[in-house]
Amino acid sequence: MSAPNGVPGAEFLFGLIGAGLLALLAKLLKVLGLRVAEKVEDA
Amino acid sequence: MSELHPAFLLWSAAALAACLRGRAGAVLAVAAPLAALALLPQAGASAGAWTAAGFVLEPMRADALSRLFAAAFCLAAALGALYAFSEERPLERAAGLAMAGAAAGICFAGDWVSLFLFWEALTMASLALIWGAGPRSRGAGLRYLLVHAAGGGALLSGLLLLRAADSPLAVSSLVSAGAPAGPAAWLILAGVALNAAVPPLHAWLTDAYPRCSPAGSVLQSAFTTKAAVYVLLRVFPGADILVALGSVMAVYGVVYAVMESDARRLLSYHIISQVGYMVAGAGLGTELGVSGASAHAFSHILYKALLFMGAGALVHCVGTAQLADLGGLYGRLRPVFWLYMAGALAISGAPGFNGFISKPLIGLAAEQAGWKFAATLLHLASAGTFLSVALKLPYLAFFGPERGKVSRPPTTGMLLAMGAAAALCLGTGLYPAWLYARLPFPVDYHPYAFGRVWGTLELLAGTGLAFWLLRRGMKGERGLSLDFDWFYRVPLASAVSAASGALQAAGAGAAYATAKAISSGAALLRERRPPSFPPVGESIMWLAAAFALAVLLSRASGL
Repeated sequence: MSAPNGVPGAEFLFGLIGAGLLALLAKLLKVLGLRVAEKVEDA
Repeated sequence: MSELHPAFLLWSAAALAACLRGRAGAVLAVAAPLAALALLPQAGASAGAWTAAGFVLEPMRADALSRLFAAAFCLAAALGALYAFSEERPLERAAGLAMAGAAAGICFAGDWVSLFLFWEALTMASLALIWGAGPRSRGAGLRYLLVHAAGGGALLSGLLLLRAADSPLAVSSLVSAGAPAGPAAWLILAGVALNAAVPPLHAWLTDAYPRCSPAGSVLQSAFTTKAAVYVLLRVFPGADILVALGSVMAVYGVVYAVMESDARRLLSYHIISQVGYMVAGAGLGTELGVSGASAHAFSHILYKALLFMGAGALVHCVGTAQLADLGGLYGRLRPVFWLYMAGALAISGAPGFNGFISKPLIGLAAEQAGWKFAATLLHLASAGTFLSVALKLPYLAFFGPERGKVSRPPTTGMLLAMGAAAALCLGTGLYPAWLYARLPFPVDYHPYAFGRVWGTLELLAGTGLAFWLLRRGMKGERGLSLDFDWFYRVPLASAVSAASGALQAAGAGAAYATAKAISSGAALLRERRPPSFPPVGESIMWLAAAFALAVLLSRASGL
């Protein structure tokens, strides 16, 4: 498995899906840890 | 020694800058790094050695790798000083110059004793820069000191083991058959990895850098992690574990950056992500990997300084970098926005900027060396970088509903420094031959081939569409996501508090005074109301560990 190269549109899809997955992963982790974030107010 | 060592020039300037007030100090802080930069081409292969206490010291040994890193450090120091030109902070000026001197000293150190002394000097100067920001940074500085004392201890232990084994103390590769050669090398690697902010040894960075003054963050972003990258390239090229760690940390930093709501913490996580590329390049150990990591470190120092200048300008003008408290600032801070975007496009690897000519070298080196899964992770981190630094942060701070009051404009020094940094990002991006000619090994890479430009634009467009579709879920939320600092801010602080309580109960006099001091230390260590269970960072770390294992297994199985 490697970065898509040479196929038209492949990089676009990689960016779309990759960024979407990263954003969803961050959101999921944030929801799981949200109570921590709420309790620890930045000074 | 027949030559003037750049470190001594910078340290002399630091001592003078600490005493000078007004414009003289500001001019000195800009001029001294530029003078040190002018010295670098004359730095010879070796300027001789001294013998002291039975050690052969060689504090000035230069080659292309050391010159390139030292040049980037001098440029960063000059840009940081220009950014803070109108600020009357002599201690910060001195600390910035001292950091630049120590980082340059690390680059030129030919023996481990000299390197260790410069290494510790860098930690002390960095600590002064953190504490120089005022009472708000006391706790972060204490935690920084605690963590770096452990890292320095690991490095020193490794050096003592080397000495005990009668190994030569010249700084050279400690890698054998793709792994650190023996316990001494592993200890040294642990100490260096901590300064490179390799997870799980990274939380000091995102804790301390956002607590510095705006100019302090700019300076911090340049030195500690990149000096560690230099040592990894010099001492651990070809250590397989660095490929796994580096490619995973590239994604780890990005995931956290997508979650973060403080602009300077977000950018701090991106230091971890970008340093991941360089750590992976060191681990590859091939000529392209080492040159790619060197080129990317040079690019990174420039664009990261520019990005922190942009976030610092928000702190200066609006009083906060919390994205939940910012919005709609474009009309009032237009120059800051556009200059920030130059840095954001550079870190995203957009054509025309320096990230475009340096970042792909490492991915290509990984593919050529058969590390295909690692190359995929690095590519994925590119998309996440554009998502968080070039889309999320500017969208929330500069557009949307108006939040935050601009109480004062950016200073002329700020705008000049941002303009100079943007020009350097653009200049090296448009003329890659200049940078490629200064790398440790020759590079035969043509970034502006049509397919590469088109592929990059496709990647950025796909990421942009993903952001547009998911933008409502990326709103800034006030609060702090603790990371691995939870371990020393909660269990360790509780243990110290308990010890202090026991001491206070035991007696009076000196024991009581000691107990009170320890109690204050514990309060600083914790600083905030603690959460009752491990933070979200732990779950990310388990994922990161699984990915690191997958990188190593995919390499072993040839996938």
